[in-house]
Amino acid sequence: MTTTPTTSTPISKTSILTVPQPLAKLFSYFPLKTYPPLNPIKVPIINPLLWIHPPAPSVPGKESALSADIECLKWQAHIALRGLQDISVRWDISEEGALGGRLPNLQVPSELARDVDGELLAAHNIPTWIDEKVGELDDLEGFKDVESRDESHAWISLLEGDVHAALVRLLKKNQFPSTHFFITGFGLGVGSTPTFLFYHSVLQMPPSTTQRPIENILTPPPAPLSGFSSILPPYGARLLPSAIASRYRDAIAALSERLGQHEWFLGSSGPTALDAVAFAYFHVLLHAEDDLRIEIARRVNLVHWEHRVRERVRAAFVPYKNAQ
Amino acid sequence: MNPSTQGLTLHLWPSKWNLPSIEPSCIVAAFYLQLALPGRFSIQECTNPDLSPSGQLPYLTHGHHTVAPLSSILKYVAALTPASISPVTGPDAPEPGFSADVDVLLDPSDRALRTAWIAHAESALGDLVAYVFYSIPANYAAITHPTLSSFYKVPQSYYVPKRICQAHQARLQANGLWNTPGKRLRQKTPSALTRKKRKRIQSRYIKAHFSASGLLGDKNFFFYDRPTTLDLVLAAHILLLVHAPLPDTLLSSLLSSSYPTLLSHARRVLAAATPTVPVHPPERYRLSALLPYPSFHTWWSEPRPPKSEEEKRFERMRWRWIGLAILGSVGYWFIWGPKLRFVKVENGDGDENLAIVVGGETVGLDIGDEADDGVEEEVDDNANA
Repeated sequence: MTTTPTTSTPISKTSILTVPQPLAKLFSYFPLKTYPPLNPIKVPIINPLLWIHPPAPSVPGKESALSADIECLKWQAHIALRGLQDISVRWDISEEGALGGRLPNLQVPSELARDVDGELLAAHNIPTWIDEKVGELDDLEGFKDVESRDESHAWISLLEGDVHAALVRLLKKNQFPSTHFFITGFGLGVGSTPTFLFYHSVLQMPPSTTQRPIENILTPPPAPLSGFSSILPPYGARLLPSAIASRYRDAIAALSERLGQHEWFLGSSGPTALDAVAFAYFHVLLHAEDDLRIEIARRVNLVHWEHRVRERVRAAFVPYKNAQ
Repeated sequence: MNPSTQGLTLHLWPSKWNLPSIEPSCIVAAFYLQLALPGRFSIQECTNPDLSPSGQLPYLTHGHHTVAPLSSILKYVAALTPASISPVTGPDAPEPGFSADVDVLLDPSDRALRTAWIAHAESALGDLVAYVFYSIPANYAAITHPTLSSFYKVPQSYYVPKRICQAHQARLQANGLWNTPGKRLRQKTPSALTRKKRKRIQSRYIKAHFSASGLLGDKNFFFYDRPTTLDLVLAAHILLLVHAPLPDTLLSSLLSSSYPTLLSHARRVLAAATPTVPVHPPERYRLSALLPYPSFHTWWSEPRPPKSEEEKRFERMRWRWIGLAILGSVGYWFIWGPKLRFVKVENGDGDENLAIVVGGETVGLDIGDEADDGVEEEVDDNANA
């Protein structure tokens, strides 16, 4: 719609004031163009689609649909080990676009949502969706007895405590050392490469991350770097890497001892939640740096177990190829 | 004090409420040493956690070795041989076969179980104890804060307890166990607060404890008829919850009513493992505690990974840039900056004042009519400020 340099016409009298003639002439040199609205093309979703962090870079020909981030991988393993197949995965959506700012999210076709896009589920709603698909678990949750189920909580605490602390500590160690002054307590997703870290400086905001900072993982919480009793305000976290490493070694030894030659942890007849979490950690650690990798690589039973479960988990996921 | 240089000294938070210390890991360390090396160590009460290599108490000193945190202490003590400990003096019977490892009789599968359960207990029960002591406002105001403040003198008694609380706050917030002030204000009636808290505590507690009591069954201790590390860890947390005179008795009543086996187990461990060694009072307050030297010393001496060439080049360029910037500022100030001089100015009454004069060579000042010497002395202290 262009404004025409006319005098005030009685037809369009919406206000008492009118644009003066010279001004209207000036405005006519800057016409307002309105374009038709652009509606995004929505691809109807058929199979469930999991949004994850990108997989680790790999040799072409051996691409994997398994995420490099530990949380996404835990959920992938959980979905696959519950028996679901043909789940698509995509990793081009950044974290800020996910529900609550955290990946993974699951996009499922839904009749209730009046959208071809389906419904987007946050991570904590995935178990409910799985139960709808394959049926609920019984009270024992797949374990052979109540004691095993209770014991599984202890093993999950061990994995998410000691082993996770070693992982986060490793990531912090890999950060550019002088940024320790400015960026403390932030971990990065496992998929980042050293050249990305190279450009961190005080002028740049640290990247947002889903990794829990080390203050939340260690028990008891670490002391501040500036000390409790000093007059400086509390800053940073004081960690003892040797203690974290020794706890990690004990944890891996205990896990290897408990697995023994069983097919699944705690002698269960089928895969359980503990197996999913354990697989996720073993997979990430076997692709991590030498210090952590060697500890697991020494335990032959863990390596074979991880290999077997990885084939099963990998088979359940296909990369998403959208038609756009 | 043991005159031998091989004295084993455990540094803990001071003891209160008939327990060796006020923190779970300190209590575990005291119990463990009492079971492993009865009578061969001493306890030193300490209120400055910065002296420890890990920044937290407990820590152990043995001759030239300093060991922290708790897991390292347990490993170190378990590996001690008779040669490294001073022998027991006194009318004691000749000592039996020496093993300082409390878990020495466990087979490998039991050891694995013990590792997992200890991690679970420390994580879940540690959260509970921190929640009860630091997050519940009534408990913090009545028990935790006064206890911690009593350990310190001014000025540290003002800020150290709050800092310790803040250290726990991050983890409790991440686990959803932190009472924010907003929540406290929004809750209308005290009974609503209790009900909400009760439900939250119960769900958390049941998840943590119910599984442990199943493992215990009706045995005296978890693995065999003597306490192992797992018994000590569990008992330390439960004893703290029960012995401390908390105004909010929700948790202790829940324990005594629903989990009596765990409570009696904790009491059994206390009876078996209470330290009987001399306890030395905390050291005198030193002003050097206000400086963050120990923490930075540990951080500085931490082994660093070798830097890559790229990083070294980047670091060199960065320092060159900073040096150039400082040099440029200083040079600019010298060459083009205003000249400042200190000048003594005499008043009419004969008082001399010091003034800073900006400007060139001499300054002629007219002080007043009655001044017969309108001359001021120029004292060239600095050309620049």
